[in-house]
Amino acid sequence: MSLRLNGSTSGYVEIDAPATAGSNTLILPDGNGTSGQALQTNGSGALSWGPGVANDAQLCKAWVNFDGTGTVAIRASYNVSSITDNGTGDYTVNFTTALSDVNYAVTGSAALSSATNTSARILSPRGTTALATGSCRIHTDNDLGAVNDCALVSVAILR
Amino acid sequence: MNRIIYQTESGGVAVIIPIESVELALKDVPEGVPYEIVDVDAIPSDRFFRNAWVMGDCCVEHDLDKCKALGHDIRRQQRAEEFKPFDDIIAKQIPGTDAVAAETARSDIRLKYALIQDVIDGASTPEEIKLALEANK
Repeated sequence: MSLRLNGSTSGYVEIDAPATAGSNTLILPDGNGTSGQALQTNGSGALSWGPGVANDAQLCKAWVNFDGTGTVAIRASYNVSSITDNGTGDYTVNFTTALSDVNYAVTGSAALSSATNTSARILSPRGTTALATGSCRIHTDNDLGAVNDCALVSVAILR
Repeated sequence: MNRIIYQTESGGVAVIIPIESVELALKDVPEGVPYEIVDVDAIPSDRFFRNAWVMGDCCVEHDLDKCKALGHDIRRQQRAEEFKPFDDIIAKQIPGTDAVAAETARSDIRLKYALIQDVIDGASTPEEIKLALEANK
């Protein structure tokens, strides 16, 4: 069963129920919402206007979680094609899809051992030239500024 | 999964760890730089002398001279740490402390590290250097 609304000149818009429809009632909100909002449900059929998709600048463009000790291994990632191990505590995060420019933010954390949180290390971009559209070079240091391999390295890129 | 390796400008080795596939990660090799695709077992899992890695014929190898240089750096750091409490006593002439005993302790430390220096200089493998440094911990 469907509801068809014919255009005043031609064509139509039709709202269909699924083939096995069950017994559901969807109640539309009483306003038009604002630009960029989307319909959301309360789980009981009452619809309202919600935030919709986040602004592109609010999204994380790439992230990776890897073990930089022993045989370097990537645990999970998004928009990362590989990690380059350049040396002790020195890695490059390579992006699958390049960023629009180099004015992005790099954030992250590093821990010497994944078994304890008492061995925190400092993670930072490797100098001002470390940020490229296709990659970002980072290093993990101890509190004396010496590079260290870390078991739990997390990097996130925001733009 | 395999790894991609290439020689860095400083003569070391960069190792690319692909996520989805080696083919997708080939774009991450710097343009124009020769590379090799190797089995993960061709990369040492012991990173103690990571900055002494060089490209070998079939796998990543250690440059012994670089290992020795790194070993001496670590030896100096370890020695400085051990010297530190005695340096303070001697430099600050802290009342109630025994400066003579501190000087004797410094002399013993100096002797110990001179022996480690000899082991590093005479080492024929990276393992010998690592053993000498770790035995001192």
